[in-house]
Amino acid sequence: MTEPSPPDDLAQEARFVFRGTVQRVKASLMSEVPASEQTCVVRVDEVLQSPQSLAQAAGQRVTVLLPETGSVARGEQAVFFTNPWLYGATLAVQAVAHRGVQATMVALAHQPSDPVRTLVRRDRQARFAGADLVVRGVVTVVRLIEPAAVTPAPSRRDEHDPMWQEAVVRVTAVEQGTDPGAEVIVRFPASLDVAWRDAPKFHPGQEGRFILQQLSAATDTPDVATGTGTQFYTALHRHDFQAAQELLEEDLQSAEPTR
Amino acid sequence: MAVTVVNIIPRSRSGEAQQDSEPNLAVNPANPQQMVASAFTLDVSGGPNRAPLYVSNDGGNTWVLSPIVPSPGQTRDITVRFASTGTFLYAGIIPNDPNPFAPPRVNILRTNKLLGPTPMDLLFNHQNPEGVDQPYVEALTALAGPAAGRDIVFVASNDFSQPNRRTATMDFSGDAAGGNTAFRSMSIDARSPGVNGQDAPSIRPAIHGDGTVYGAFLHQVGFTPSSAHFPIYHVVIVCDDAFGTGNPAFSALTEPSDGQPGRFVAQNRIIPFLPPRGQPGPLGQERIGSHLSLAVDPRPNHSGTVYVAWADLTVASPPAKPAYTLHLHRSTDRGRTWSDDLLTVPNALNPALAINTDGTVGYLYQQLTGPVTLGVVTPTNRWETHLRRSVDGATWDNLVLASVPADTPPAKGLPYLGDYLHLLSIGRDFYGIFSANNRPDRNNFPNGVRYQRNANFNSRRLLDLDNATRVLISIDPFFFKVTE
Repeated sequence: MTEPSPPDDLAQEARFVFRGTVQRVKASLMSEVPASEQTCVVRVDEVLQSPQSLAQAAGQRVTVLLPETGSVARGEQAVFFTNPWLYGATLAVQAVAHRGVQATMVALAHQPSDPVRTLVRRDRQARFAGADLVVRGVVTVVRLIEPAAVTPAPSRRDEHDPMWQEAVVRVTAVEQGTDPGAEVIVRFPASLDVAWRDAPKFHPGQEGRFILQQLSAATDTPDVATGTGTQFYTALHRHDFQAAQELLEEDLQSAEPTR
Repeated sequence: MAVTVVNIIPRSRSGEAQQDSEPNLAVNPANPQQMVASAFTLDVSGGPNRAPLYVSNDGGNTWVLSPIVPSPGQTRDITVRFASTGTFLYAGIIPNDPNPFAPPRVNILRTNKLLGPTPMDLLFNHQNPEGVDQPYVEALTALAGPAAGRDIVFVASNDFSQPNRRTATMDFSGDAAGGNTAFRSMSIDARSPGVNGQDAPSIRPAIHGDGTVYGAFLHQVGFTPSSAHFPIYHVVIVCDDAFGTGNPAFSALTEPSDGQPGRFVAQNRIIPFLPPRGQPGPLGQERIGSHLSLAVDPRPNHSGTVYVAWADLTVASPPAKPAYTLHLHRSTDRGRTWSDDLLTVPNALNPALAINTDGTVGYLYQQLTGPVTLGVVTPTNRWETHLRRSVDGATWDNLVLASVPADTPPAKGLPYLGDYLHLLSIGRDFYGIFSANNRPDRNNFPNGVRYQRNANFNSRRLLDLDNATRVLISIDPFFFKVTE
């Protein structure tokens, strides 16, 4: 028999985790979601992990689509590990799983009390785990990349042009990966176009943690990846840079009691 | 006449404060209660490779967000359209490629399950080494002739790999609902651009049930001699008489001055592509550089009537300032001859045209009002969204759908409102969508507005799911419908 997944693993698979009370079984609040054996209506009692848009969902009733093997009883309290499915007048979510309240809350007690921060921290941990290099450092210089190195046609008018620039980061500590030496070069899109607007933009004096991917001329755009024998990195996800102030606050919060 | 304006952010998304710009809209001609809208709405909760669409099944009164687009979180571009029978929804997208260095590609998608949970099917992947930009889809079900009963789908895009930089491109299928969708891809620009030139990003198709298909694009012919080096374009219309099966396709309309396919509607227009680096705006907080719309009269025996609108930089003598200006022209002889400006709108962008079954033309656009200086936005500037209608191209009514501050909220990137929006007609009714500042202020919506998300119109505040926590003002998509 397969061991049930621990709450921390379930939370990795779910964007919206909440403690809730089942109000109706085989029921739905949304006309777009037909009631079935697998649907139920649950009141959100406490949000444990969520995107910003659902941080204030406590007190709301949501329609939960249970996995095929799942079942609940009216009045049952549980922690629901879910992903939002349909946003309408109310919310429908697809449950990855649900677990009994007491043991699950104990297992998740190490999480921050802020559900949004909990999700951001999980997302950032995933970025961290997949990074080639994680350093703390300070941006000393930001400069344009030699045009010949990045743009096949300098006159091209493309709304999604990334407008590559590079930041020189003085390394103060290496948290993951091979020590790159005193400096790393991070190439980043200066463009604020929708394709690139969430990617961190760097400027001199910026200090913090850089979660980096190594650029490869073999698999990435050669014009961006290549240079004069230097190794280049990128930090393209919105969680790939953490400002020093945020790190400080995180350190202070981790010293405080959790949930 | 009745005007309905609805903020389409669902109540369960009341906490969101994103820049939901560049909206598009599809209304099912066979069931106008069913609609689909798109925007730059980021939602990663639907799964690792899903982006959301907005779906309404009650004529646009309420909307749900449905994650059925195969692209992580959101797309880089998206347009949506139903064919006439409404069996399928089609979309042209640039997916948010997991490899950020991959050149942008166009995916043409199809579904008949608007609420999922399965994602839209991929019909065609238009991919090449230099990338593709701004897919714009139109669809129609042929009612007669050899294609009767088939879904005709045209997706215009800007393909940077086309030979000789003739980048205006059309992907099209004569049977997109069938088992063998077989998309064909071709440049519709017969001329090479000037040195270092290319066609502008906006390319637009318009389809008529009798087989006529028009295409509009901005063909570059050079640059201004000034240090600004602004590109100069001709506005070009091409035509095919048989759903793109002409030999060669899109060669039915030629230019007398050079004998090439593609009639010049206007020539030597300066269209700056800004801001390349300053970001965000030169016009309010919005970029400029490629705005174009095209519509054909849908009535039987009226396929020769076609309207085109575009924006260019109109330079007047001092003390007047250069103004990014919309122009509207009409042809009634299949594009062979064109009118002068039917309407001229300064400091405006995002034109969208549609013609209803009475032959009334609808013209949607967004205009920056107040003292306008390119690159500057002040509290005196407002973005006004207008719907103009005319039965003859001479006399126009003027509905102001929204008039909102242009300096707030601060741009979170580009586009601020969108590089396009959309207008369409079903029968006599006009349906459209635009993005705007979402402050719940009835003064900002002269023809009324309804919000689904929590909002207090007395305090003029947006409220979160708990109906108490304040939410910051942002850019939202607004659906509208105008009925006679």
